[in-house]
Amino acid sequence: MKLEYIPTICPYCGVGCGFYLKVRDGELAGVTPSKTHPVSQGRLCVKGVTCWESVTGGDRIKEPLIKKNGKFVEASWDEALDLVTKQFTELKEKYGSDSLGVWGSARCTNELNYLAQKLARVVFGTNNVDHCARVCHSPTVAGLVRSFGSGAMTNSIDELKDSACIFAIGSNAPEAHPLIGWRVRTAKDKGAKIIVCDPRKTDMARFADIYIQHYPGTDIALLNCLMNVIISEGLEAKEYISARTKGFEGLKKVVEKYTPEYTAPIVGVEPELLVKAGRLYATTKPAALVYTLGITEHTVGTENVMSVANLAMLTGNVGIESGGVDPLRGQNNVQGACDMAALPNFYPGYQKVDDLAVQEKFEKAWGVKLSAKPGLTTTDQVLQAKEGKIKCLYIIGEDPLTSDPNITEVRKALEKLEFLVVHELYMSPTAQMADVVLPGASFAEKTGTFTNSERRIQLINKAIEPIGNSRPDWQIVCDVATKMGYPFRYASTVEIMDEIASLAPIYGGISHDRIRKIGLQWPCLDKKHPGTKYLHKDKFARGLGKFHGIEDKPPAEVPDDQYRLILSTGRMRFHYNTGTMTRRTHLLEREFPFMFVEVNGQDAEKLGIKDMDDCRVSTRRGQLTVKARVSDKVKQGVLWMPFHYIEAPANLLTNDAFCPISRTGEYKACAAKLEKVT
Amino acid sequence: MLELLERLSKEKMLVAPVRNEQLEDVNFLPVTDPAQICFDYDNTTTPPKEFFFPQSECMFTFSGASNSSVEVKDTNEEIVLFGVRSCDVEGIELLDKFYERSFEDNYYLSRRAKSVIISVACSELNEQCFCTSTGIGPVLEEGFDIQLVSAGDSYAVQVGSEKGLQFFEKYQNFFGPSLDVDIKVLAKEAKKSNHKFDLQRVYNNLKKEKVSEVLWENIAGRCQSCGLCLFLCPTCSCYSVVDRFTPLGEGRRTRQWDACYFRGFTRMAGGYNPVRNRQEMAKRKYYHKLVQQIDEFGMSGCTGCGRCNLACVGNVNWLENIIKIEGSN
Repeated sequence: MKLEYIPTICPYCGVGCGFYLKVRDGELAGVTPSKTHPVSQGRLCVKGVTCWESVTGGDRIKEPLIKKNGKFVEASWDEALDLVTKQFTELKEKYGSDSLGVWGSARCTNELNYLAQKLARVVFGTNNVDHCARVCHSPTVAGLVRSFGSGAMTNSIDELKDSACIFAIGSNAPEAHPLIGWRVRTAKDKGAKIIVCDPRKTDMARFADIYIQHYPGTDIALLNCLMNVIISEGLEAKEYISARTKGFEGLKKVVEKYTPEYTAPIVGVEPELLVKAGRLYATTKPAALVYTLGITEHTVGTENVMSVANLAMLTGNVGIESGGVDPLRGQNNVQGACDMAALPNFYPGYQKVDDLAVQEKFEKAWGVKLSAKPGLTTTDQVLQAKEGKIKCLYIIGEDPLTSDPNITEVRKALEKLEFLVVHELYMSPTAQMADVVLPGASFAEKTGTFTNSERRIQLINKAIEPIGNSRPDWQIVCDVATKMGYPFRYASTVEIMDEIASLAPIYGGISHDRIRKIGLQWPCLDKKHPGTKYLHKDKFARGLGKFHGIEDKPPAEVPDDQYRLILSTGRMRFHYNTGTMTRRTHLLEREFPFMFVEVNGQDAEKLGIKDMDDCRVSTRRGQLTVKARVSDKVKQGVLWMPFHYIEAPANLLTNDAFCPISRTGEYKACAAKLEKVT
Repeated sequence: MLELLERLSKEKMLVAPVRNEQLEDVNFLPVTDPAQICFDYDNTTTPPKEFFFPQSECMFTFSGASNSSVEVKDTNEEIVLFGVRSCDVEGIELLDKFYERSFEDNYYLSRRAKSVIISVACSELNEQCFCTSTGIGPVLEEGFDIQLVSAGDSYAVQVGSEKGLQFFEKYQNFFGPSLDVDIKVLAKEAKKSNHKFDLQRVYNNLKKEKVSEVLWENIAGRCQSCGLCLFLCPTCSCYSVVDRFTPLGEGRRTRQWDACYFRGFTRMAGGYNPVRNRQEMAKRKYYHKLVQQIDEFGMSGCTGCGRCNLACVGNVNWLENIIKIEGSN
């Protein structure tokens, strides 16, 4: 019997826990925690503990698949790649470079994402490269770049346990980022004050000192009100504001009208509570502001983020230890996929596509002429596919037919494509529609790097051989590029990272060797640089922090006579995103095997609905019949559904209304009705 | 000792504590060379139950509807487990009792039969562990194969079972002359230190339900069903059996670790759950280990290894809670 413990990083969320995969006789046999890993410190959540089971499901795709006469037929890699590259080449010639789109993957390594955007830019000749940050934290990048000059979590995860105050808005950390939820719990146990703003009474809300249960989509009003309270009581950080920021007067004017009395009916919260929260946050330092998709997944997502930034700057909490603004990135490598610029408007390291000097640098490094035209986001690629302008998509490890808003429209878009190629582990609804499906290797079957939410670049180690004929995605992309006449030759992911380090200054000092033990946090500018624990110390990335006075705006679709309730969607602890991995894991699927809608007890009573009754949730876009879960968890007037179940996809109902700046969809608010099914 | 270990690594599967090069945790792993063994550790991250009751194991393979066949896997080798602490030896003893009662679990028992455990008593105790309070260690009086107790720059070796005696006789050339040491005296002396609680008082308070509901509510509010406190526990034996297919199409009946802190573990068909709420779920674990197993097996169901204290994302500390239970009423 051969037994090894292989250290690696969790494939699920953006916390980036380190642990060991147990490998017995060449197969995954379990997980054991690491006491010394700086992020996980001997702990894990249930998804990490069971991830060994998630990638070896019986229906793993083992061979390339080509659709012939409407059915998938197994093919050799040569046959599949020849077909794929022939189609890419022909479509590029017929319709032009910008008729193609490449979707990188927040689930795959930095090395893959670097090559995916290089393929799009060098081989396809387009900047139409993007990935699923578009549906979650792209408002963070857009908003914080405007406010601070840099779009990442400003402080480190472990600093949270030493914060004197944690203000969490639109974040269900105990369920979506458990090891960050642990730090919040620890801070509370040490006497910190916790303020939680969430339409749902999450685990964190239950132990909060102040819990604000506001309506989805009213965050700007709420945040402006807190700022109003702070300014009218003279609690703003005057020295910090004058030394380190600009635009305060403009902000002050805008928030003047957001008194507690004015704001209370908008947010659905008692005015006294708003006063208490404003005072507490302003007077308890260092205070960390934590947020996730409750803030970003709105048509005003970018503005929500800037409001959050306003609040943190107003109180002097940015650029200090255990303070800061902490957007918690969702996926294991969404931070990295952004850093590597699987993005339509940046080159690796957030260097702008429309900056001529930057373009020249990359043209020199890559040896080809590049396009200066910023490309389309995934949102717009889908919209333009529907209009017949995007002809071909190369989607790596994403399932927009489950995860994009208003999936009925997404299906129309994908149907209109002339050619669709998908990399996947398992057959997903999107893969089902593809012309060619290429089997990728999972996190346990390859070596590379993931970057977690606190900018820590960490090594994943190959533990088992790729299943069947699956291959690491980076190797597939290299073959595609090479077959199309642009040889991508790398002996291993080590070399790819060396190339990245030479071109992206924030990764300048990163190499597999240097990050082997506990990783390094960017900015890491050269081989001697120790990495950076927290950002904006002494000065912001843009110099002075910028306040933006922002008026609140309701969501694109609000309740009316026909659809009286607000529908919000999100995630649970036991499942992950579209459920590809968690639904195939025994302990996880057993906990929550079916789709449901959370209903407030009072709303349920009015509709004659009891816990576990079948009921129908409808929006203008579709309807689903699901079980009702009745409790006091969700605010009266609000419904909440998870999006983990492909057989009852919540995104059948959600609204394809997008933030105009970041193009992120309004998953968190649309109008719905609920009826009992008899 | 190194020569003995060298010999064992060639003749059998020698399993010993090994420190990981990258992340530095110490765990029991097969070694082919004594140089791989770590001697400088408190205890391993994962308990040695992995070698008898692994996190996942294939019970048998199956295939086909027409040409159906079932094949039971039996690849168990003879293993020598070296460096096990007293808390973990006791843990295995408790698992032995569990897997022998009512019916004989041969998956577990056949592995046990082919194993010899050479334990090493701790000479120093740390803050989290409490084997002296559960009545066990750090020096065992009984229930071991071969026990090593530090005696300056050598170890005093005690044989404690038939298996241990056979092992000793086979390898006696590696051992020095007999020492004039009474292990029971050593054991009793060692038990006097690091006292954390009185087990009898804990037992009484739990059995007589004198513990405030506030404690159970506190745990219930913190627990997030990660399962780690139970997976890392040397005495936890719960499992579920699942039929799965591997990606290459082989049918396998798999036994894998499960835990009472998952709602689904006790939920029945139809949705009814005899564990009515999370408070009850929290209480049952304490009752099971600190009352019921004492009643049934005559030994504490918790051996005081301390692993669960620092494994919780809700900051539930098992030891601190036991001390609170002792102080109830």
